[in-house]
Amino acid sequence: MKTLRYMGRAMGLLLRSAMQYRASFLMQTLSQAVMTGGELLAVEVLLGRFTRLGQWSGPEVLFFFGVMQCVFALVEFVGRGVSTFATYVGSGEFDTLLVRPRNLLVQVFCTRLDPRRLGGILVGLSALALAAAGQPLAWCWGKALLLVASCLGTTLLLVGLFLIEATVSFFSVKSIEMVNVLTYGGRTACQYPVDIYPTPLRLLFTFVAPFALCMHLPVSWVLDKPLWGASYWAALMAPLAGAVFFGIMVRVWYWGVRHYRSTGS
Amino acid sequence: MAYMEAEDLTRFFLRKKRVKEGGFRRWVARERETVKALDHASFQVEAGELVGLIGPNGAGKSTTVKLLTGILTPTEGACRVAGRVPWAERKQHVRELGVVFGQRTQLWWDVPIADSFDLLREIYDRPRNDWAERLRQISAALELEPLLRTPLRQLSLGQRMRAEVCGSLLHRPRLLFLDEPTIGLDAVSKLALRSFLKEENRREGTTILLTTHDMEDMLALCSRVLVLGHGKLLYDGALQELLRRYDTVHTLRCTFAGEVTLPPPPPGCVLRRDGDAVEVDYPPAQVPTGDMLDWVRRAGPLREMTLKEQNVDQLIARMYQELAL
Amino acid sequence: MKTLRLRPYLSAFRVRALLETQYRGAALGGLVTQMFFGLVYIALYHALYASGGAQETPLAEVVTYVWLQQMAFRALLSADGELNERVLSGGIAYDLCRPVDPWGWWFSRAVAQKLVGMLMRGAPMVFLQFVLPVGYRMALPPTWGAGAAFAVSLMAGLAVIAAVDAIRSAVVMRTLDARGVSAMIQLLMMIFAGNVIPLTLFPAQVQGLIRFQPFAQALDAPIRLYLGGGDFLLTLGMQLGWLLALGWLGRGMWRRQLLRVTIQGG
Repeated sequence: MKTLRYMGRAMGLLLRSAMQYRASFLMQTLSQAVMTGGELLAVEVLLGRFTRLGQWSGPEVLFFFGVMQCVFALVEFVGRGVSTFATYVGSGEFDTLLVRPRNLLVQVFCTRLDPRRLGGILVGLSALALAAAGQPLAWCWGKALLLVASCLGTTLLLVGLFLIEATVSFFSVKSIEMVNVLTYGGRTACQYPVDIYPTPLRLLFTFVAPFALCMHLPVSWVLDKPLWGASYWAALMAPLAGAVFFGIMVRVWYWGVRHYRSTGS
Repeated sequence: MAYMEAEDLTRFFLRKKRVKEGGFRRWVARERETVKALDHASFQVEAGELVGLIGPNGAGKSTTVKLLTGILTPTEGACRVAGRVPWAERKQHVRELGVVFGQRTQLWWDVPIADSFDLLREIYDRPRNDWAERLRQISAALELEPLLRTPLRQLSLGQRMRAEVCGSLLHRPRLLFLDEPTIGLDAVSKLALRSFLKEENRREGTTILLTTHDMEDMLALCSRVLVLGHGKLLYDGALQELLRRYDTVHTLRCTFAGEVTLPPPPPGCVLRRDGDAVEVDYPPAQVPTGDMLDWVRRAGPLREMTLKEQNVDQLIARMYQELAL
Repeated sequence: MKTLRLRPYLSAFRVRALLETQYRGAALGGLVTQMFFGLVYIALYHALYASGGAQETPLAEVVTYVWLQQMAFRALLSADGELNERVLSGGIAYDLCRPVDPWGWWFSRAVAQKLVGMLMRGAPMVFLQFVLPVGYRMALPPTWGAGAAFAVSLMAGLAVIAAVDAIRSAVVMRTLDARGVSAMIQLLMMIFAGNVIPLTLFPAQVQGLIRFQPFAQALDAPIRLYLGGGDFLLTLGMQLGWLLALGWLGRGMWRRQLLRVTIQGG
């Protein structure tokens, strides 16, 4: 409760800071819209030309895309502090967080808690609406629960993946671009269902960065085409993989804090 | 048990160096060297003390502060503040801690400082009344009231530092760390800040540890200093005692009425002519000032005479030199 | 009568090119990232092409298109990551005080960054093609002529992106904001230069428009020449036309910017 109030306050302060630069505020909001809109355009172009992707119809592909957009908007909203953490360590500002009596990771979230990022959810939801309109889907509470679990699990997975780079930044001043392979690369690759990919990529996205478990399995169940013929319970439990991944990365990150060297001597 | 204790407190850093020579190796290989930022330092500080931490750049002052605040973990040795290990019991420890880093801000750049203070209240989770009372008290003492609605980035350096100090004290810390608090401040701001810190220490009993290069700060605030060099604790004691130890040269400057022939000065003295005036450096420990006066009288009719001690900066520079820092 | 001195611009070019060679760690990271994105995109196109339906663009051409885009990716990134800092800290004032044409200055720097950055990432990627499985490798240009046309057109393409970059810098100066403007131009460029999906895959009805817009001149136009399509002279003419137009626009913006700064300073 106290944590939520703190996050609310931090968000308000960030918005007020952003409002100081009107033009910038507008441009940033606009660029968000361009980004998500551009991706939707790309998917539409591909679906216009090819109509099918493996066993999936156009609306089904759009459905996966919509879920990924919503998830990434959530990640950008809550996890910017983590994904930009390397610059925070580089400038020595992390010291400031260490001398405050609050949970460290919550404080890191609070450094960049930008509600405007949630705008991407609108694009995601409209993609979902388009997708749902394009196919006969029977809805029930069970499916809604699956979607929520899937979004939460995938969000935790992505924040966990961003924590890898954050942890590396304790040890090396150079930010490791390669981690983008799993975060931004994972986003791009896994907005399409995992079964279209060749085996190495499928293994990568099932066992290393388990997007398949967090997202594709439950969402495929919602579309009545469960991957690997999974049962409802299996589909509901699979997103826990994201929570487990996040939990492990939080431990690793705290281990990194112990080895933090600060700047200067 | 003392309020703050450090025992063999040590922190090493590994620094990577690029290899300069060799074709391909230059691109991949790195050499490592160990930097001893703090090397087995032991000291104790009692509650309510006002202690200064001095030493040349890179001596280990900031490392000491970062270890005691819990920002860094020690490589060896241990420290405790109020019985707690700073990094292990971070949250409880920092609840009673105020920190001002002279070079960087803990407030939010683009919003009025009052809004920053509001968020700090949320972070420290303090009662609203107490916070308002404290804010009124401190902002009055630091003359911050007219600035509370101004964004931090529009404040001058001195105003910003006062805001930082205010922000670090609102939650009634028992212990305050100040890293270069007067850096870049004008004379008026400096004096105001010094007297405020002194008053805060007296009235609230706040223990204060400060690092500074400004020896006037030291003289005004600290009865006790810790001198660091190359990561080692070189001196722990009264500032006055330290100054006496390195106060080895006084200078006598006199002008005479008319032309005079100077007799040879007592041994250990250095004679200089500066226009009309004559300057003599003498070691007060070996040559009593009375002997110098006798020498002047023997030289001829005196018109004017001044006696100078070295200033504190010169003394400290001499100390650093002597300790080969 | 002022004579055009080329020397300062050459030295701006050289300094920025040298700086770019310092970013070896970033280049390695970029290499890995671009290889990964290339593989993912190509795997996606394999799946799409296997799903039935005849396509006028052969899969092999799409594969080559994707790799060429990934190799040139660094060129799409902005030339100056530190511009934001320089603008906000006021360090930019030094750049404006130099006795050179500021547009030319930024343009030279941008060309240097794009050329060197592209070579550092792209050259290793050419060699990595040999370890890729069949069906994932890019093809050589069909004729020597196509290869030569590609090389010439790619240089013109880099100049076009550099001109866009110089405009971007001017906008950053004007609005004192780099994140918003940069992010947006970046995204527009990635989509409309053909990095996100090959422009050849856009619907046939919009091909005329999509090939005409400025971002297509950057990478799409040379890549089409590489694949053996498109008319060389026509393509180059269009690229140079856009280069002139964008250069004129950017130069005007920098002029006005200078005027504004002078007035403020006075």
